[in-house]
Amino acid sequence: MIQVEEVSKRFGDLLVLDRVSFSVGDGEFMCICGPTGCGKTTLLKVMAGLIPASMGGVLVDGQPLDPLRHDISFVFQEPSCLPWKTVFGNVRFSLETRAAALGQSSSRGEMDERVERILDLVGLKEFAHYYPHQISAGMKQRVAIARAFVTEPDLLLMDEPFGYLDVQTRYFLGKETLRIWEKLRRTVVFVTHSIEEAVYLPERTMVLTGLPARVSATIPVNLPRPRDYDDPRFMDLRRKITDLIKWW
Amino acid sequence: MKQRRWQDSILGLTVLVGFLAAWQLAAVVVRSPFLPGVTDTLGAFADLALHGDLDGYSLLTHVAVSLTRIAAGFGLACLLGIPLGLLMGVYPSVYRNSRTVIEPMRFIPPMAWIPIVIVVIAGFSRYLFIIWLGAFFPILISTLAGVPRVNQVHLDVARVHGATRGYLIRRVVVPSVLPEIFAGMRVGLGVGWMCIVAAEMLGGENIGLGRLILKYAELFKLDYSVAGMVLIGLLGLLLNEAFIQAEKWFFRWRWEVTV
Amino acid sequence: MSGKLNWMLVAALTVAALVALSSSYLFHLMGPSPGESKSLRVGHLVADELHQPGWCAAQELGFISEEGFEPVNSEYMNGPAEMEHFAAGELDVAYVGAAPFLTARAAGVDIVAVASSNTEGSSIVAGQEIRGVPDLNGKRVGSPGIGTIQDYILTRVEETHGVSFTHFYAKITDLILYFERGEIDAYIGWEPHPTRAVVEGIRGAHTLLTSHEILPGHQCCVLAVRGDMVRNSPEVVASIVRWHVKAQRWVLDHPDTAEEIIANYSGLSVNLIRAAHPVVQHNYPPYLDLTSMRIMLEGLMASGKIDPKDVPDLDSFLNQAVDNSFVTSLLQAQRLSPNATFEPQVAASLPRVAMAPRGVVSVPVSR
Repeated sequence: MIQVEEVSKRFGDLLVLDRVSFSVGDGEFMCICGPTGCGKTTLLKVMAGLIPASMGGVLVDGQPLDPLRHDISFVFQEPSCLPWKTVFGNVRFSLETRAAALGQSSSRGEMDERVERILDLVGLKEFAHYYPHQISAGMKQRVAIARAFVTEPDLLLMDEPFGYLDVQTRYFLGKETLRIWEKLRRTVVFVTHSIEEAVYLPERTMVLTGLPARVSATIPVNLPRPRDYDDPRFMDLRRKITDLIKWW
Repeated sequence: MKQRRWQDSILGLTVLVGFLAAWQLAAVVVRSPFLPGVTDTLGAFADLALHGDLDGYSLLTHVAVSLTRIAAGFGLACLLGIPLGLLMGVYPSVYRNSRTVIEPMRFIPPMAWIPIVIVVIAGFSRYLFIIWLGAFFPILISTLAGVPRVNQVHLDVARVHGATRGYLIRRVVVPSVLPEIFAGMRVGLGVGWMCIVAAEMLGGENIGLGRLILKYAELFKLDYSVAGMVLIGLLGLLLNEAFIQAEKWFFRWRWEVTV
Repeated sequence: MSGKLNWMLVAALTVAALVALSSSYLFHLMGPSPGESKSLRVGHLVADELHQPGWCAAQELGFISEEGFEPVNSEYMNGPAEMEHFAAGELDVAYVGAAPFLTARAAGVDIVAVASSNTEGSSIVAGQEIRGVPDLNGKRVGSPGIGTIQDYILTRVEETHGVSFTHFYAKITDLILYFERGEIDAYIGWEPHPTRAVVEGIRGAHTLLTSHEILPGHQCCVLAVRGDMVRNSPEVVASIVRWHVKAQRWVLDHPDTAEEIIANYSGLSVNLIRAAHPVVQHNYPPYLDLTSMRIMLEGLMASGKIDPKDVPDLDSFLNQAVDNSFVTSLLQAQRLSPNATFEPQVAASLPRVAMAPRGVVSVPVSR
């Protein structure tokens, strides 16, 4: 259970996050959306422990968030594959880093097994020994997703991971992400600026206001899966969220 | 693709032949004993290769000695330059505070040190020092300039999983900076190569390619000197090419390799 | 289309560069003709005033300006270096050792020797562990350069005594440093540098052999001028020889003052010069000694330093390289006996330091 309590973030004079509070249940898939540049990425990075909050904090199962103690993964918007490692090496990297951070000497064989399984799951098994520069942008993000899931994290944060991809790949990867999530049931917080995605993917969407960001509303999405973009209920929710976000 | 490479090779060869022809022509036209032509130089080279030099040292000995000096100085420069560069890159305050000493020293040409070096240091260490001077700074600067260019995203990927600073440096910074370090090493090797020749020319042991050139120049046998020059150039080229090949192999994961 | 333009540009630039290079070289070869300007470019060797007192004494006493010249002086690390610059047309007159002179001449430099500057004058000095020449076997012996006369002397020692050692080349003023650090076991040089090691007591240094013991009376430094000057402006050469002969005579007649002048110009102490002086002979009349030069020439050819193809006939080569007639004419014209003296017309005012003192020199004053 993740609790975000009264998190504020200030950069110099600029207040980006204003007392944002919410919680995410175990295994839940939640989306966060809002107007462009409202601090969604900042919020996510605070939740990852990459930047400190100016006020307030994040609790994981009642303990203050600690990247060392808690297993957190992050899928970045920009391509984040380590270019000097193969697909296999990249996915393994998060396991290795985790093991090093915890001072564990996890057996090589065990790590390799886990990597193979996740690669199989995301459908990249044949590309295990390719280098990032040899695969497409969509595949690179799949590698990042695999790398994020393989550590079986307490919290998986995804920051507009399909932002740099074309529309068809976005649809495809959205479905793939759901499939993997359904299989592995980790807690996922997914930031997007695509309202479609905000309805298609999660069980619940949180809408933020513009700067300084506050929680505007939290909208449950109770549609059965697989969801249909043309379903009138889908379109209703879309309209609802768009109205909340509309700053133009 | 292959056809293009053939074309390039033939073009390159033509330029080379043209240059040799122009050189030979110039030598014939000027007709001075002090401007050897291509044939004279080749003859001198053959004589050196087969019979060694006037003191009885074989060409191979000269090459081996010069290469040994280079390897030692260059090795030392890498050993000191890479860790120091990483340190300064990761801790910019170290760099900032040492700049007042490093920057002026960087611009003193290694050859300017030679008079002091002759007096203060002895024997093999002289060459070691001069080459080290030449090779050290390119390596240091490339390394420390490469560190800030490490992609923040790559660092964040590791940080999120709880990486310590040491882990970040070992597993993210170093692999990221390695191509730049190599480029710096290649430049350093080139500079070191040029320094060894100058250092050898200025006195000391009478073995070494630089010494060879000077020996024969003193005797006005400039065709031998030029043969020595050409050999030095070729060796430098070979070293550079070897380096590039090593870089290509090491950095297969890059889709472009800088030359 | 731009590719073609690039090629044309490259070709044009290359041709222009080649033309510029060759024409500058040709112009450089010509140099100023003597007589057109009063200045005369004179070369000498570093710290070699004891061998070449004709140069510094003549300047100091005004003999050169008496002849109407303004000398432009250049200093070189050793004879071969000076000859390289002579070949490039940078010098009109050179005080240089006989061996580099012969080597340059054989290589085709248009240079002629017209008077002797000194004979003998070099020594091999060794550390105290080397008692005799056989001890040199397998050791490292310093020499001021492979093309110098001193190096030839080393080779001669190797041949006549049946020993073999490594030649280690360095600048004359550095030889003593290498010797001190033990990087060489002995060295040869032009005086007073060998004696310096003895006087300063470095490693128990002692003189092993002097050139007198190796090749008695051998020609050492010569006064040489451009060949075209001998052919086209002999009166200029006569003036040069006159200043030289006057200076040589004066040095022989006033050894003490000469030593002071030499000490001044070389930056070394008077005591050192005094100690080394006996090793050097300034022969008078300063005729060039063809006998020893012939021996030297044979030696240089045998060791491969001079290509035998360049010297088909030794005697005719020497006769063309050496011209003693200027000295002869001068003495005849003066109608003087060989022992007459020249008194300077301009009183010397000592000490006058023409050059900044160089090197590290302090010899304990024992007077």
